[in-house]
Parts: sequence; structure tokens; C-alpha cells
Amino acid sequence: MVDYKGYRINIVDLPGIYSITAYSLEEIVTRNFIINEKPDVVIDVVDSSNLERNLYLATQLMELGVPLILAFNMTDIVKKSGKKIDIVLLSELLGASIVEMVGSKGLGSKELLESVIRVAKRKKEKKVELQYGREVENEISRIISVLKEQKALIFNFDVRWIAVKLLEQDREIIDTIKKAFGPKYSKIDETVMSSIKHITSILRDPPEVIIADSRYGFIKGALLEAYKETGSERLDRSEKIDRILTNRILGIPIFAIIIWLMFQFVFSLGKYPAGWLELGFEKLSILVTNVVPQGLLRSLLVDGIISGVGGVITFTPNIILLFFAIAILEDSGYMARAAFVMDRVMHKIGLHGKSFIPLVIGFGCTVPAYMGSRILENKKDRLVTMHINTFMSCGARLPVYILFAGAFFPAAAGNVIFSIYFIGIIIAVIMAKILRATRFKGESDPFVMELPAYRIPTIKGIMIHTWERAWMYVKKAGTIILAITILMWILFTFPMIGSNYSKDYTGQIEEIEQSYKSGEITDPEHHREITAVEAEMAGERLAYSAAGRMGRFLEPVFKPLGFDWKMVVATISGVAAKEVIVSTMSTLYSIQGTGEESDSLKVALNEHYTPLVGYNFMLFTLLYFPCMAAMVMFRKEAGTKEMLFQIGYTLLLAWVVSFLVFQIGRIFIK
Amino acid sequence: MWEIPLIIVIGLVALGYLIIFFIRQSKKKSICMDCPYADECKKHDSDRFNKS
Repeated sequence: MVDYKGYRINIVDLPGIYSITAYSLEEIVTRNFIINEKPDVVIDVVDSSNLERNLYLATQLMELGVPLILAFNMTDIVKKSGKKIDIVLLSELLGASIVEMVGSKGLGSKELLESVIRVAKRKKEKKVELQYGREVENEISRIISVLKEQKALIFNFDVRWIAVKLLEQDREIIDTIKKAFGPKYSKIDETVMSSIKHITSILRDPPEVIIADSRYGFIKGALLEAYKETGSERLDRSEKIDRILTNRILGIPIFAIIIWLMFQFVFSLGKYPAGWLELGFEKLSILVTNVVPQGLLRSLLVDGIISGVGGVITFTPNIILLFFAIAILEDSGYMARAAFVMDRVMHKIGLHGKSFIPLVIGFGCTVPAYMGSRILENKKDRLVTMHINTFMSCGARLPVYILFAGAFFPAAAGNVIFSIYFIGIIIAVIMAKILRATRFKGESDPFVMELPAYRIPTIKGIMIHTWERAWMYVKKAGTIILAITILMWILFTFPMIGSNYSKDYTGQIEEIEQSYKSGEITDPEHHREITAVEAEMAGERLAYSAAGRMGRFLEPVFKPLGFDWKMVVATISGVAAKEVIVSTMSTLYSIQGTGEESDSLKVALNEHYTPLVGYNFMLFTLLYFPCMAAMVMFRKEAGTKEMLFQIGYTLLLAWVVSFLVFQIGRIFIK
Repeated sequence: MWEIPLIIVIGLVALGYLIIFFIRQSKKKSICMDCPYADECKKHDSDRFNKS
């Protein structure tokens, strides 16, 4: 019992332990005391000269969510050895107060008592939640659902903590749940066992090893930020590799090279199966053209559905290869290093580590990225992160890039796509700096970047993830994109022009036929002239349609960017889903296409646009706001005002950048 | 022209599908377009592939 500044502090000394798994009696006693007695403060006395080992218990106490103070003992030894701990930073990263002490000399005791009073009086604790990696987190979510479903909640314990303990096969928790809930436990056990089996088959280690690794990864990440060591020490394999991959100078260039190689892989290898699929859809178009009589139905099938949906499905091989490459980078542990390297960049632009997580998710899809921004407790950090997330080019934009890069820069498509992603990141950095200096001034919170151990990815794990995503891509093409394509075809076809053409095309065709019959023109000339007249007619029919009128109305706004009304309509259709840009262009040029041969979309694009306009269109697609679903989520997370700001400023930025690129580019490129 | 009523029906079915899809999705925690690009979006499908 200690009396200090009017407070009576009851101190309970618990057994000395390194962790609170249920392997030994001391561990069980300590854990049960903390959970059942609910102390106002838990003090974890840590040997500062061996932080990596001793902080393991701290991570488990953090998971329990107890009000925690870390008493870093023997700090005199740490200082003598030339090492330096940034206590303030480490305290923020771990979400716990840290007091430096030298117990043998009584130094730090007063500070410890002050800290005890401060922490005990604090009503709400900032909880730092450890992440265990994608596979384990998925299984934790499953187990939590079953626990809630079975109403198997033990009130002293956090439900996530129970799920983690079940995955670790903690005997005490299992026995507690069995005793309390009897027959309900069999359903929980079934789920837990299947989760353990799944994790073990994908990651080649049981969950308790993965979870322990994650905790050490978290500690390593925190110490990399806040603990400076001098002198050489024996390094394990992961640390040796990290010395290069997370090096201050080499880290970012290595990351850039790896991402560049990924795009080369995706495009160079993917173009062959994509080409076969394109050929397959062309054959299907010809078949339907030969079977179905000419008319609206045939146009809907060929120009709308087969061209539109086929145009998106053609890129399935590229998407599969992209997912395959990302799965390897994630499962090997490299992505965490990339996050760590980029974290330094984040610091420089006023965004700290936590922002990187939603930004990385944004490279997949902006919707969960906006949701993921909730982990940022600081509102300004959250809003800035959300506002720049659109520049992390989402997966749905990739078919647009592959189409245009493939059409205009076939020999360097991988490089061109890489440049688009790179520009997106640069613009995100610039906009973050501007937003932070203007609309959202303030400090950011630090965050731990976990560095899990490197692993050799399992083929099974990679193939499962790749297959899941490939199936979802095809499913999306066959449902949402199909429905939107049908509606776009209707907007491009109706109202029908009837006899309201601006010229007498029928008369022109008759004249050409007569000239051909009389031998005045040759067969190729006849074909060329007929094709030209029919193309002009098709162009007028398109311009007369609802979508055409809308596109023509807005065309003057986009003309300074080099875009015609078709690109305007495609851009607007991209609000529904970015892949629809591809299906809209496919539908447009298929409707416009004439003759028995079906011209490929790439050929049509090359005929109508220059490479400068093609690249500019990709830039515009990168920069303007994401799809409708993402904007709805943005509104849910940040409110209508911020959503409107996002739409307005991204449109303006896209227009200005595209304008500059086109107008300056025209001077140098003819 | 018999095709016009058919096109109208097809168009209405497509529009109806999209409206129902968006209404259903907007009621969920995460409104999404069934994209395959992020893990967070495919969580609800992952059980299909968890073969124990």
C-alpha cells in the first residue's frame, strides 16, 4: 500500500512472466487476476536492454485492453551502451505510458507514481489493435460472427480477444466457453477447427505461430521507429534482407523497380491470352451477325453485349496476373516492407503511417479504402487520406489503361501504365501537402508499421486468392457491367434518326453503286467509298442519340483537352464503374463500325485519336473522382459537403492537368 | 417493329437489376460493386473457397 498525493495506491505484485498464454500456472494466475479483478492500472516492468523479447508481454496486455504503463527498467545500461529510445514516440506507437527507471537506484519511482495516478484517472484508453495479416484476420472475423450468432460472449473478455485465443487453442478459454455454453460450443469448435486448418494449409504454420510472429513483427516495427542501435549485432535472415529493402536510400527505388517489373509481367505475359479472348469475341460477333437477322436485336447482341462485356472480359488474363503478382508480394511479407518504406514519405507530407493502410487498399478498391480510413482517429488525417485516395488508381481503372496503352504504345505498354500509377502517387503527395497546409492544418499521429517475418508463399494460397478474384471479376462483368452496357447501348441507339440525316446518304450510295456498275470505279474504291458513307451515317445516328446529344452538349468543355464527345460519354459512364469506360468505347465503336469485318477497338482508337490524346485520357481517368459506390461511401464516412468537395476538386484537377498535358504536348508532338 | 417492345423489356430488366442491386448494397455496411480488387470486398465470398 502506498500513499501518494492524497491517493492510496494498492499494489499487487504478480508472478514474473514473459507472456500470458495459458501454458504455466504463473501465466494463468496473472491473466485471471487482470481479467477478474480489473485493476485500475497494470504496470509491466520491462528490461530495457532486451526490448524485443520483453515487449511481447506488453503486446498481449495491449490486446487485453487494460490501462497499461510500461516501466522501462535498467535504462542506465541502455544509455551506457550508446543506444537511444525515443520514449515519447514509442509510447504513442504502443498506446501506453512509458516511464524510464533504474530500479536498483530508486530512480523513476516518483514519475511512475505520477503516471499511475494519471492513467487511473483517464476514463478512455486509446487502444492499439494488432493486425495478424489477411488470412488470420479473415478467420478472426468468421469466429467473431459465430460467437455472436451463438451468443457465446463471456462478459469479462473482448470478443476479438476470445477469437484470437481460440485460434491459439488457449486451453483455459476453451474450457471456460465449454463450461459456460455447453452444446453451443460444438458449432464454435467446428468453425475454429476449420479456420486453423485453412490457415495452416495456406501459411504452412499453425495460427499460434503466425499470431506470435505478428506480435514480434509489431514490436520490430515499433522499435525500428523509436530505438536506435549502434554497433554490429548478429542479424537473422529477415533483418539482413530488411537492411536492404527498408534502407533509407535504396528502399524507394527498389519498391519502384519491383512495381515496374510487376506491370511488365502483367502486360507482357497477359497480352497473349487477352489477344485470344479478343479473337474469340470477334468470332462470336461474326457468328451472331450471320445467324440473327439485321436489326435492333442484332445490334444489341453484337454492338452492345458482345462488344461491351467482351471488351471488359478480354482483360481477365491481365487482371489474373496482377492479382497473382500482388498475392506473391503480400504473402512473402514484402508489402509490409513497402508500406514501411512509404511510411517515411508519408511522414514528410504530414501523413503518418496509419494513412498508408487505406491508401494501399485504394490500389484495390476505393470503397473499402474509405471505410478503412476509420482507423485514423484524427479527423483531419482521415479527411486528407480520403481526399487523396482517389489518386491511388483502383483496380477497375486497369482495363482502361491496358486498352489505351495497348492501342497507342504497344511496345511500351507496361512502362506507360507504370507511369500512370507513378503520376497518381506524385499527385497524391502534392495534394496531401497542399490540403495539409490549407484546409486541414494540424499534426498527425504516429503509428507502428508491422514487419512480419519473410515467408515463401504457398502455391495453394496464391492460387486460391487469384482464382477468387478472377471469378469475381468475370461475375462483375456478367452482371453489373452487362446491365450498364445494355442501358448504354439503348442511350446510344435511341432516339433513332429515321430520315433526319443532314445529307442524302441514300442518294450518295446509289451514285457510288452506279459508278461501280458502269466500271468508273474499281472494287476496292467502291468498298472504300461505301464504307466512308456508311461510317458518316453511323456517326450521325450516334450523334442523334440521347448519349450523343449529351456528349455533344458537353464536348466544348473537353475539347481543350483533346477529347471528342465519345470520350466525354465514356468518361461519364465511368461514374457507374470505371471498367464501363471500356465497354462504352467498345459499344460506341462497334455501333459505328461498318462492313462485314469487325474492326478491333484498338484499331478504331488509333484511327480516331493520337497517342497524346490516348495518354491524356488515361490521365483524366486516373484523376477524376472514383465510381458512384465509392462516392456514396465517401458521403457515409465524411458527409455531403466533403463528398461534393472531392467531386469538385478532383474534376477540376483532372481538367487542369489534362489541359496542360494536351496543350503543351501539342507543341512538341505533331 | 417487334424488336422495340423486346428492347424496352430488356432495358427495364437491366435498370431494375441495377436499382435493386444498389438499394441492397446501400443497406450493407460497405456499399460495393462486387469488385474483386480488394480483400475487404471479397470477404463474403471467402467462405466458398475455405474447404476444410
